[in-house]
Amino acid sequence: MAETGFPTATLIVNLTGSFLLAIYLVRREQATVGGWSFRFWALGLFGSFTTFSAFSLEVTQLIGSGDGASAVIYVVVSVVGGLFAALLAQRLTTVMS
Amino acid sequence: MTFALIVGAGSLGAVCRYLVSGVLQRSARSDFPVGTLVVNLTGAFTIGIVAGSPLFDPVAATAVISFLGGYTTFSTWMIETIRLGLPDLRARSILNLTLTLVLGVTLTAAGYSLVG
Repeated sequence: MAETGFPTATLIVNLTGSFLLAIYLVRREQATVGGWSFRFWALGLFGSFTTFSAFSLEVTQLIGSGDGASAVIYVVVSVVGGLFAALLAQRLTTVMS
Repeated sequence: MTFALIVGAGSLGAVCRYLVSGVLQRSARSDFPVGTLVVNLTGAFTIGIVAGSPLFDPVAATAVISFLGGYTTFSTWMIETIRLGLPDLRARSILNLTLTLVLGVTLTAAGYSLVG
């Protein structure tokens, strides 16, 4: 586990992906978006843009390198931030439409 | 070349997630998101193996990690956690968060030490 340092790239991808998926899902509930469009955007693009495997590996690497504090911060910022991003996107999309 | 490999493997991963999580979710007969849970946990275990094993050359590792990037998902985990908590079932939200998180990191570490 040579790689150290805070995994900012995965964090940004996961937060923006959660935000975008939430917007799409609200739009889908409001209007009728076809099944194939849903599969492409929600299941395909926004789903695979984000990643759990890299997140899990980075947490393991941070713990393995003895940097437990960064591991905890990374987990909390990712999960709380991801939930917040999705809720914010839902709220904004609902208000603006 | 590397770009094409990432796109190809990532897309294949996304298709596999769609199939695996869909089949599992339908057979589970529950609204708890077991499909995403199983996809993320198996992906977490596999990435631990890839990171720990000396057998993967850089190209093979890129292919598998790109596949797992498409196969696992963070955004769906977040959205499903929020939906589970509505209207007033916070316990299930927290269960989905902690199960994925604790088992995921444990499985990554297990995969890593299994081959490392």
